[in-house]
Amino acid sequence: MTQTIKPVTPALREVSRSVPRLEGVQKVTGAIEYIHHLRLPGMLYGKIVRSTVAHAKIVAIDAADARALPGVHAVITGDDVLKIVPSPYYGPAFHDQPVLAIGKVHHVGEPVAVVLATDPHVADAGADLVVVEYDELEPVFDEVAAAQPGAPIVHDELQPAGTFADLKHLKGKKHTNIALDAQVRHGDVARGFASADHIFEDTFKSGQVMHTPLEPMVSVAETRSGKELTIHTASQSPSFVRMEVARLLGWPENKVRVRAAFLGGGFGAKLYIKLEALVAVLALIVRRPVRIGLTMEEQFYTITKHGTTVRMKTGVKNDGTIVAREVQTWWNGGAFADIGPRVTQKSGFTAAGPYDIEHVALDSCAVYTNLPPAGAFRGFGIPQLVWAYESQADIIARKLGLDPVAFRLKNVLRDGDEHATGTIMTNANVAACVESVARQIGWDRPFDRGTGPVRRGRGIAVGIKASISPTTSVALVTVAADGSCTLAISTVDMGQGSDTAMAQVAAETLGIPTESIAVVHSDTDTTPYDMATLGSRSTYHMGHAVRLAADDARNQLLALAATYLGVPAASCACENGVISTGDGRSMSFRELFVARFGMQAGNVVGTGSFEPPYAKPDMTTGQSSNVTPFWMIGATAVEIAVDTETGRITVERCVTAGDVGRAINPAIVEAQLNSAAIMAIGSSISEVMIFDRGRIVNASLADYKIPGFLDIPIDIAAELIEDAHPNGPYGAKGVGESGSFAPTPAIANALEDATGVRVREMPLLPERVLRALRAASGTPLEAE
Amino acid sequence: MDLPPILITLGARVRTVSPRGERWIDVADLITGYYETSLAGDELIVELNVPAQPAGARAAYAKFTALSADDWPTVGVAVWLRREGETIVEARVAVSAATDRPTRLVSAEKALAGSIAGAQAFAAAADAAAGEVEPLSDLRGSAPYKREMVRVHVRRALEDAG
Repeated sequence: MTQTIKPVTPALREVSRSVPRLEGVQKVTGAIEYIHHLRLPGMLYGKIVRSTVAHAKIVAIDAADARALPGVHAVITGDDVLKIVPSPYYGPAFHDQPVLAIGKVHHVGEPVAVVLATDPHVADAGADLVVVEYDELEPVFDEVAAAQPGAPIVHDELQPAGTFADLKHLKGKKHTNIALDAQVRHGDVARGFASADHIFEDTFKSGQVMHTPLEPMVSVAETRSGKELTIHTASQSPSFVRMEVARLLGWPENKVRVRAAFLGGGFGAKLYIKLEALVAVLALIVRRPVRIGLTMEEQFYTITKHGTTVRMKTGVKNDGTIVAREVQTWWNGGAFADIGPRVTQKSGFTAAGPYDIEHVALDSCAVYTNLPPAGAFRGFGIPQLVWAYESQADIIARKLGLDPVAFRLKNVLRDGDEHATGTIMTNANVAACVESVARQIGWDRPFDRGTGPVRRGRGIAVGIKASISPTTSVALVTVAADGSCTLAISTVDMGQGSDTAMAQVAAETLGIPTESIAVVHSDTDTTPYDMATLGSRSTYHMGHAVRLAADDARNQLLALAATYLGVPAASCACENGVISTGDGRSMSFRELFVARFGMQAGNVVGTGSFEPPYAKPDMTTGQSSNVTPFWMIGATAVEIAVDTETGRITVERCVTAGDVGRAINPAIVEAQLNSAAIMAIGSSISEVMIFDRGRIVNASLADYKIPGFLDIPIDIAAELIEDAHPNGPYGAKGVGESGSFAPTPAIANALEDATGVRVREMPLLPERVLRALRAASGTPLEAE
Repeated sequence: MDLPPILITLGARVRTVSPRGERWIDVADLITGYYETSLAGDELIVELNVPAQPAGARAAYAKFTALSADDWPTVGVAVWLRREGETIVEARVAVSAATDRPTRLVSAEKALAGSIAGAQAFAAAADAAAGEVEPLSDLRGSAPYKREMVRVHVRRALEDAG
């Protein structure tokens, strides 16, 4: 089912207004609900016993000492799980992740057992007493090595979930770590390279990064009868949790209730299933409520951003026209696929960048390794690809003596051009975003390049992302008999301001103030289905469903008004909770209900369901007539200072532009662009997970350094490029990730601008930068 | 990690109390290793004494963080100089964070004593410091990198203290 909404109405009252967040005061006064704070009567605390080795067979689990510890209620292992779930493997793309390890561990930190106790400290102490004997297997950590024949095999047999058509052919495949090899073929790259005047070949690497939500993952499950479950969870995807837990148990979905509250950050870490299947099974085994809340350290072992190797070969004409591009990308998926194969395919097909290139060949490869699993991370793989193609864009521009902005503008995709997937570009303002950041940073104006050891440089980059598809959102708008309105949606507000934005869309449509609307949080018993809060999809997809639901409610109210006012519905106006006719008569919403039911009674319920148009790409060529509901574009320009004696980079100015369609709430959209840029600056210059045989050396906030206030550029700004999308609610597109696309290559490009040195591996840590500077100056630093 | 090298170069002491009575310990002798001190298990620090500094004394601290701005220092360098005219008559240089405990760099101090304050002396002292220090590799940098950071920050701290 697809719909196209009416053209944008000219006079907007609620949309395009920077409504303060509806929950803002409650948040800053500590009145907001987080699952983290939930305590249920009789609740047990679970502590996970985790694998200490990267790859091994489990020989024995000795829990006798833990069970003997006073206060320990039970110790549960994979054998106990098997008694109630015959095939306890879950995951959105592959059913590869066991609720608790069965026979084998695949990464350091994999859950092997759970100790349950009424006191969390007793559970902790008990977990230390569980002794697991391992028979170690050779591990593999590097994504390129793991993809080669003869590499140690992480999973004996591939088990695609069956939900994605492009994974079905992998079912039962053995002796491989490749969980998906996706391709795009457009034109003839060999011919393209033959016609090029210059060929550029580079390899770009990026390391694993952690989402670092300040509220760590937490889930609580309870059951009354053993035949139903309620799961309270800090999840971005309650609908998926319900579906997957019901599938594991062989139950109908309506026996599993999943509810979320506000999230203390998500960034992709709290998607699909994390702790929910585990607490569900534990609650069913012990018949008491069970809570598992992770420590910050445990989060690092639960989900990460893919480390990536990108090989990029590009053919360019003397005049700067890009004629051919061949990209091979290896995604380090870690031990469980999670949503990695979708990252591989959905982001993979944009690996040639926002450029109009005649001949393109893209190979994108999801690889299992013995590292902690990788999944969705703000940007969904796009930042790793932009890192590669925008670093190379500057390498090419410099070699050809072209201005980096002019080189990009010469090659960018414009509306009407054909993307490498065959889709004709529309509502994708790549050039406008590049021009915006160039203007904001003052690209053509001279600046202080520094003297002495501190040198300054500027860099620019732009990235493109396709929205995830096909996906569905459903919304309910209920008008009570007093005229007040409640919006029930499964979009999870994790700090991005979705409650406020969705209320604005409903308010605009119904003609009532945003602040008067109550938003019901995701609860699968009461809020309808939503695919998930991910991939910048909510504003566009759920926003559209909300508009349809509000339209439905509004039409029902207008029909009532038409009856009691004796005029056609089409001649009535709906404003401020009052429906009025052209001749000056009016009825409030409440008066309509009283007229209809003889008292203040009844409801008007509006429903909306949205699934955007989409054409599935061809399996072998990646070609599609409509590969995405909308394109996200994010551009960034930075000015950095480089201390050439230490290699330390300071981002002094950072300006971003996002193609946002229309900003429902401009202040929140601006904050989204800037906060995404800050997050990307962190993974550019200070954040990286350091591994020692699969163990994370720096799994703590003390040693894994996200940006603090002093790391935020003094001058940071975002410009909203507004070009109403015909199929977005009031023209809006998703925007949560756009600011994260381009900062990393922009910084690397600024580094070369400042010092002449090119670094091809991120993050740009001071030692890495200093070594590059010293090598370039012929005085290399002593090897480690 | 910031204060110990500063206190060492200022000649600070701590007064401690235990069931056996009181004693004074130089800060330089207080920290004996990574998370280790010369305090007994039942001994508490009750006072920190920073002596009045002589006329002509100047000091500076150079802090370098490799990751975020609020990170633990990768290298911290405290310097203390007493000058008579242009001549440095006494110098103290202590490094922290790069080593397992805050450490006086005696060779740098020797290089400075008796020399004319200025770029040449400071560079020589920085080289001496880099030659003497025994940094530990960790996630914030390899030993060779930290050695280089000691060189840079000894020089910068000296330039700052003048």
